[in-house]
This record gives sequence, structure tokens and C-alpha cells, in this order.
Amino acid sequence: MKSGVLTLQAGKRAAVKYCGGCNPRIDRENPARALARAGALLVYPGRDAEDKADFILIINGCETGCVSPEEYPGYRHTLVVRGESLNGRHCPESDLPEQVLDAWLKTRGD
Amino acid sequence: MMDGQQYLESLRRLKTEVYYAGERIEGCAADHPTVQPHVRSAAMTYELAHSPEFEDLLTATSHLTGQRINRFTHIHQSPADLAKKVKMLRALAQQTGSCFQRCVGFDALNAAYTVTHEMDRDNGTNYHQRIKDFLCYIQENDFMVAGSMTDPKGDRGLRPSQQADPDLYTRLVGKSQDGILIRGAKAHQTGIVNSHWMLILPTAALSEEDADYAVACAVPVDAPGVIHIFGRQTNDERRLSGVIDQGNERYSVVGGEALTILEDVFVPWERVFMCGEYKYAGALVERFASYHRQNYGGCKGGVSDVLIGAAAAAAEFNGVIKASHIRDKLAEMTLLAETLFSGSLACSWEGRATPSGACYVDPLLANVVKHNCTRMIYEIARLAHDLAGGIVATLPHEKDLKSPKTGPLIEKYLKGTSQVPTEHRIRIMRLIENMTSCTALAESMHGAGSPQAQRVMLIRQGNLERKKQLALRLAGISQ
Repeated sequence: MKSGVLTLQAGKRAAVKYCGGCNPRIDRENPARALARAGALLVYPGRDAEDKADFILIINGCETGCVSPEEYPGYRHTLVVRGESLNGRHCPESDLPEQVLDAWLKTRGD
Repeated sequence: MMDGQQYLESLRRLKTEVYYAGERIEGCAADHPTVQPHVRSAAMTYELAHSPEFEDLLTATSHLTGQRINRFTHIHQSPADLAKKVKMLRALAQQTGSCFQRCVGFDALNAAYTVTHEMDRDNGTNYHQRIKDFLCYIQENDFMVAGSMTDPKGDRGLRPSQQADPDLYTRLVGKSQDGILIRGAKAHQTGIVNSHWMLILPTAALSEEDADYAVACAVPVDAPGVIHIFGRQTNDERRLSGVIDQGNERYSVVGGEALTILEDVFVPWERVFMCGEYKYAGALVERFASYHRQNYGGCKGGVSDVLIGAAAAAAEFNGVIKASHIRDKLAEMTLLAETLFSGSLACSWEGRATPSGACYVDPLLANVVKHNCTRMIYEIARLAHDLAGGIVATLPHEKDLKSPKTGPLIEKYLKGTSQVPTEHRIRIMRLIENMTSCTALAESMHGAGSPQAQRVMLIRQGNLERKKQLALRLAGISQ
């Protein structure tokens, strides 16, 4: 269930926080996998001592959004998935990985 | 916190005495093929606590130590904690399609935590500090605790002290400076052969004559004098050979229950949480039962998610998924499952603080959930049978599928749609059979108490007198 093995250089970290997944409407792992495939080093807030990312992706499996961005302050860039929505705008599940990736790349100036 | 492998290794260090099929299980019972699927299911509660995708539900912060702990060792601090418990159970059940057993001890800990506080407040005892010390120990070591409440009960028309055999309810048989001796048995013990501790609670409200039966305490499952007789389940011998015919080879079906015998078991005072305070037995039972009944819309909701998926897949493999009556039945199954889940969330969000500070569910709504479960799970299973078709009851043996003589014939004649391998069709039917067999359904009926127990609570909690007054007022009847 872990989101892949990551072999990235420092400075490409992306923090990922998942909701607990009681009844997700989307595959919660796909957006994070897209980041990993693009070279992001995924870190998990509260678990990784080396969580020095300035970007956090919060992935909620449905629109209830049990994990809110207010719980994770201190990141320069915050992206919130709530089911088929991205930062409050509708986004079909199939588009989520690409949209998340685009947003992350922009925060890095790529 | 332990992970799944560490949990399994911790069980191997115990000397739990388990009997099954006429003999003692040699070595660790957790490694026995009949027990293994239940162990894997319980291990999921450890494994997912280390998974980024599930830790938000599977972990909590201890109110005693501030440490990150497995939620199954947590004392609920708020309605949000209670709701997270329900969501955690659903998430777990979606992964296992079966019972993961650890909620019973979780509920026993919360019940004992709240009631001991009230006992100490009223009587000047120190049970609450003892349960807090025990809880810290459980949290630190991430042990699995079996909730041991149900006594065999013998003649249900008689009180414990009136039974022809006094051991049919667990009781105090000795007391010394160091501790107490208890004797009796606990029935239907979910997950106990793969637990570390058992938390013993009285099974019913008690009167003064029954004071010796008012015992609550914690005992290691491998303590001297404790033996376990592992129960049979529908089709359990399929676990001894083959895979497909088990339906759910990894996690099996419900909890893996045992009859646990307590033959003059010594319990040191620091692990005794009630000893003779019969007036509090009813509160302990009611508190435990309500916490436990809260669960059923979570775990059965998750199990139902899997069964609904299996029924949909079966219909697809049969080539009928687009038929309107099939979709209507899937809608009905979804309605029932979400109704269960809604009730569990409702009794959680209506939770309230107890004097101990721990949060307690709304007992009326919790009993409604469990009572609904005694009906709705059967209806969900009935619809699954309907959608699967008669093949769910007539499939040939797995060995016939593998046989060079009969295998090709089965491949040819049990084919559904041409795109789906016959084996896939058989596998999904076996899963449905597994999830709707006798053991699975009977657990929905009697787990956390039989329906009549819930009806007693519905009348007690239902505020009938006020409802009568509402009616009388509107009818223009003054009193």
C-alpha cells in the first residue's frame, strides 16, 4: 500500500497526507503516484523526521474532506483533493494525477 | 506500535493453550491453518497503522501519555474519536471482508475506563487508577485485548447464584493479600486465541446474592488455568487443502471464536477492576454493549461493500449486469449498507462525555444500529444470493476444476460471458458463499448481543412516557 520506492534528490520533496480511507470515491494513491513518477520524494507529515517539503498534497477520498489544510500549516503550497475536486474545483478522477502533477511542477518553477 | 509481522512474532512468544478437533494445537495456535486467516485479519489492524493511506484512522494520540498509539488501544476523547472508530472499522473491513476481532477488547477497555471512574468516585476504591495503569501498559506494548464478557449462562431463567452449577457464570472463588482466584468460562470469545490479554467483565446486571459474580479483571490469555477450545465454522475444513473453495483464503469469515475456560486463575490486585461491587455490573454491561453495538455499521458496512462488489461482479460475469432489476437490487443492497453506516455515525456524533472524561456513544442509537444489522445483513446476503444465481450453492470441488478429466468440462460448461475465465466466475461465487454462509450471518444476529437484548434497551432508552404525553396533549386529553 506504500506509494512506491522513491530515489530522488533533496529539494524535490512533496508531503502527502491521506485521509483514513473509510469509503473513498477515488483511487487515493494515483495522484501521489503521479508525483513519484515525476521524481518527487514523497514524505509523510508526522511520520518522517525529514519532512522539509514546502508543498503538501492532502488527499481525501471523498468530498467530506476529513483532513483539512488547517491541520497542516507551514507549507508554502497546499493542494487539496476531495474526491473529484481539486482545491475546490471539480476535477474528474481520471484528470487528478495530471492536474496534481502540473500544480506541483508550477510550485517548483518547472 | 507493532506492525503485522511483529504482532505475529509476539503471539509466538506466548504459551496459549488451545484445543481444536480433539487435540491440543502444538506450538503457536496462530500458525495453525484453521486459525491463520483470523490472525491475518487481526494483523491488518497492526499493518494499516503503519500505512500512510490509513494511519489517519488507525492511529490516535494517547490522552495518558501523549504518544502515538494504535487506535484500538485508545480511549475516546470526543464524538469525532467515536466517528473515527466507525470509519476505521469500515476501512479495515473493506480490506479483509471479514472480522478483525480487535474491537471487542477496545470496547471493553473504554467501558471499564468509564465505569471504574464512577465506582471510585462513589466508593473510594482505586480501580480507575489500575485500569489507567493497565491501559498505559497495553498502549505501550500495542497488545491485542480480547473483550471477555459473555458467560455460558446455563439456565437463562435463573440468576448466577441460582444455577445448579455455580461455575456457569465466571465468579470469585478466593481472595488473598496478593490477588483473587476466579473460576468459570467465557463463551464466543472473538480473536482470543490470537490475543495477548483478556479483559473479563461481568455478563449481566447483578443483585446482592450474586456479588461473587461481580468480577472485572485482566488476565493474560496464556495464564495458568486458562484454556481455549477453538470453535468450528462453516466450511472450515476447506482451509486444510486448496484455495479457491475457501472463498476468502486470506481472511476467512468472522472472528475465529473460542470457548475459554478459567480454572482457578490467579489475578493480582493491580489487574482487578471490580470485585464484589455488584451494583455497577449493569452499568459495565450496558456501557460495553453500547460501545460494541456502535461498531456494526462500520465493520458490517465495510463487509457489505465487498459483498455488494462481489454481487455486481457475479452479475457481470453472468452477463446480466445491465438488467434493470439487477441494478435495482444493487441499489437496495447499497441502501441497506449505508443505512447501517449512517446509524453508527449518528450514535457517534451524538456521543457525550462521561464523568471520566471519556466519550460515550448515544446508547439508543447504538442499539438501533445493531438491531438493524440483525435484519439488514441477512437481506443483503439474500440479495447477493439472488444476484449470484443457484450456482453459488452447486459449484463443484476445486480439485475437479484442477483435474485433467473434469477440469476442461467445468471450464466449458460453467462459463459465463465469454470474456471472463470460468475460474474467475467460480472464485467470485465462492467469495459470496463464504460471506453469506451460516457463521457469517449468525454473527450478525448475535454478535454484541441478540436482538432481544437490543429491544430491552430500546424500551429503556426510548423515552416512552414523554412520547405518550406528546400524543395525549395533541389528542386534547388533559391529565
